[in-house]
Amino acid sequence: MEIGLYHYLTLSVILFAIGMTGVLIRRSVLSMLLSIEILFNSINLAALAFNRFLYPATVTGHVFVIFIITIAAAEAAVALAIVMIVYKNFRSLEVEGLTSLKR
Amino acid sequence: MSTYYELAWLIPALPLFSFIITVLFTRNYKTLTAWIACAAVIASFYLSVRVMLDMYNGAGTAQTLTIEWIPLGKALEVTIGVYLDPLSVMMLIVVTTVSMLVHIYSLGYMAHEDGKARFFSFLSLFTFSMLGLVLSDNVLQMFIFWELVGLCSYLLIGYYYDKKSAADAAKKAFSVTRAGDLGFFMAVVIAWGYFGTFNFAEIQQQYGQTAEWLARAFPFLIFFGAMGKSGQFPLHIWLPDAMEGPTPVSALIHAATMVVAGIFLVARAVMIFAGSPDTMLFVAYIGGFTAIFAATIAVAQHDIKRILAFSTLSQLGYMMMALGIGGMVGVDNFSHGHSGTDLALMGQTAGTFHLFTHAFFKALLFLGSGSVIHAMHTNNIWEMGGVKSKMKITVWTFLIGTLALAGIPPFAGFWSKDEILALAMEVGSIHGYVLFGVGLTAAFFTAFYMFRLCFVAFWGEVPEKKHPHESPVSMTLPLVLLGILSVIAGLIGNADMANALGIKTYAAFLNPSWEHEGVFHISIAAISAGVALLGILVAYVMYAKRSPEWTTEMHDPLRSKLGQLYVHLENKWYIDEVWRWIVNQILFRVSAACAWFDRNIVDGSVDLVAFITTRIGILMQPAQSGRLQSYILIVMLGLFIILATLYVAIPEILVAMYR
Amino acid sequence: MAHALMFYLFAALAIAASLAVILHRNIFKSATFLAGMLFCLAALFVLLDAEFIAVVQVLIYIGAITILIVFAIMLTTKINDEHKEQFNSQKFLAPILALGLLGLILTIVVKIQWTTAEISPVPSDILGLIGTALLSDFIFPFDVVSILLLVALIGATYIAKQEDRKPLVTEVDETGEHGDGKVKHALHAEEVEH
Repeated sequence: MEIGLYHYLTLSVILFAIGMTGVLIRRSVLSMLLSIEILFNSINLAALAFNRFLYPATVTGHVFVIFIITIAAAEAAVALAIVMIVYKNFRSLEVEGLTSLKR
Repeated sequence: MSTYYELAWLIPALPLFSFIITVLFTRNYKTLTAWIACAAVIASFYLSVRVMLDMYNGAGTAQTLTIEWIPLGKALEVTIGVYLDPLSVMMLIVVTTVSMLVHIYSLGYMAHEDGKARFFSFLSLFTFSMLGLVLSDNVLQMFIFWELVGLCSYLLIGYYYDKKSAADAAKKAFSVTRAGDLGFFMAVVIAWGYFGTFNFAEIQQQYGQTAEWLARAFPFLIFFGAMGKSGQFPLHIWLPDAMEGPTPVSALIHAATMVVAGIFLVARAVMIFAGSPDTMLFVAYIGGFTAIFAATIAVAQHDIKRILAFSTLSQLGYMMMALGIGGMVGVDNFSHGHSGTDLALMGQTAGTFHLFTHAFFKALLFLGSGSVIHAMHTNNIWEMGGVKSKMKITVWTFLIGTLALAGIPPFAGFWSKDEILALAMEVGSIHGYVLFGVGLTAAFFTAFYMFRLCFVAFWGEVPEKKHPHESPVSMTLPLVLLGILSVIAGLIGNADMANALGIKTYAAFLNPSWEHEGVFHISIAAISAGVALLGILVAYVMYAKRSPEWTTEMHDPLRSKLGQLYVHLENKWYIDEVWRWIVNQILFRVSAACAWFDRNIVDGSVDLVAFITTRIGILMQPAQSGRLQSYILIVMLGLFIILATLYVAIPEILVAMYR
Repeated sequence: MAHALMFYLFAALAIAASLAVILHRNIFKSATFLAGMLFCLAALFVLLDAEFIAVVQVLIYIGAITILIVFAIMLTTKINDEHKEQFNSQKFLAPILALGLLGLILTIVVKIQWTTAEISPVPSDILGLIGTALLSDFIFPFDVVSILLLVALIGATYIAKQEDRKPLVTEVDETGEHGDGKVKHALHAEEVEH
């Protein structure tokens, strides 16, 4: 069977589910960040697959992916800064302990 | 339309501006506040006089300003207007004149009060409200200003709010007049519900085609409001207590202006009233009863202001009686060759003319009593005495006021009171004669108690430790001006006198299209003057030899002559006690039942809702854990549910999204 | 056929790597697996004729973002964190939900008739097209994203540099004289063990 849109989408959805599970179950903030990267990439894959199989003559999917990567970079920078400061304040990265925004 | 008509809206607006400015900005500058208030009311007075002159020269009735306030078409259409007709212009003159003189008087009287700024602010607000009331062209606007004057009355009676009796009197005045206002408000609602308009003229046009019960209920409810405001029996009980306020307030609000609002209202709606003769008969008898009832009580009172208050009640009763007598024939009937309409207009003329003259001499009496109280530091006439030689201006102007009130020619009260009595005879029938007798008796009592007051308070010798001296010029000047008005104001009521002076009569001014003059019969005038003189004579015999030993009310020579009756009079026929019983035994029980219902049923259901909400909140509380991941889980669950629902219910939509 | 083979290979690797990312107890190894997973996706991008994106993926994702995360891990994590509980109380509920969502979306994806009748070849000058698109049709989002990146940069620096804040749990000094509770002593012990 020819590898088509269905295959890529299926893979994308599977990765999305895995990433979501990771975000939901890991206790460490850093692990959640890693899982979020998985989520981003599953979307990238879907975007590129749609672009390739449905509108091969255009590059909209590519542009989207570039934007997503850019935003992922920005998010990683800010999130990691927050992680640093949280660690400094709480001596822990366990997200369940972070129930208060004060200090 | 003349320029001054166009500017008429400024007449109430100026005191309003004064109130706003003084309340917001000049509270801490007492003298400045007083002068701002005075300046505003003097300007209003000037404009009123110019408007009156235009009206006198035939500028006619006009609606000079109409603001659509709530323009909701058929649902509700509320306009605020300035309506100028002879009646409202007459009231403008009365209100601005008395208000101006009271303002000036207060400059002296309230000079050393801490709350002077507050006092003058409230006076401004009151002047605005009263002027707004008389310029109303519709029931609703009138009701709004009606409530505003009630509020001002409350504020000013309670001016000495740290004094319990003053605070209680303010509350009493407010709640008793409110009982009457309920009727007025029902009339307002009926006006919109059944006539579809608030406008007096439009209501009057529709009046012929209304249902029987409505034709009776509408004027009756209006009269109920007027009863509260104008202190008609049995809603009169608040007025004597209202004397707890400063004396200028008593002069302005509780003698000359606010209390006559009820008279004005009935006079304004007199043609509507005349459509229901039964109501008018009721009005006439309530008025007549109040007149004689209050006059008898005044005979045995000892507080100078209370005597004047009961006198005011009595005179208000007179005015109401005049309006009632005029209307009780009914528009479709004739009596002694007069049509009902003519008689109603004659009643309006007589009632409002008495209002006009009474405003001046009663304000004079109150201001004069204030001057005496100021000098003697007491309200009790038995603790006064001998000021005749010390306070010449005050006492002589007071005497002018007394003569005017007693109805001695040629003072103002004589002409207006006489017109009412003559009208009663003119109407004839058994009711006319009965009311004539009532009026005559009340006139006797009036003359008696006023001269009792004068002899006891002014004659004799000054009590020890009292050093009365004449009041400052800001207080005596208004007295003199009002004294002059009390002498001459009555002359315009009589056709011969007016012709001699070359001016229109009051009747011709009030109803230019109406060829009748005010009624005057020399025989009736002689009888009423004779009765008044008799009253003075009795008072003279009893009190002229004012003994310095009469130092408390127990020494009243009348006490031994009347015996037990005197105690009844002293206790004001126990009407206050009757009301207290009604309030305690009936009203409070009903209130308690209502309160129980409110607390347990109404509040209970609200509490139940609150309780359910709280329980749900507690139930939902764990969801707000602050744990990020459970939030995400819930978001994802929501996404799942939405997608699943869409997929199950309308699968096409997901395909359509792609297309 | 080679395409299919490559696809299945990299797809399997990507799934395995991402599972490892979310399940591995050692966060450092998790990050390493993430790099591997990203590399697999880069390969899949090549299969999708998106060579430029694949290169960007390797350069930026693996070369920059993952390295950044590794730095953060090294700065914050302790070795013995590995022995702590790694998963929270949702560890049973969340996978079930994820599986449900997976099944649902897959059902929908299969249900839709995608119009993939004929696959035309991609344009040869795809890089030029991307550049043109970024600076013409997408110029506004492009600008917004640039500003966002700048803001994120400054913001991240600002947040990370707030040194004067007092930590909620103060460091226990060596003498332990200020230690006023068992908690702090316990923390102290932990530090020493570390």
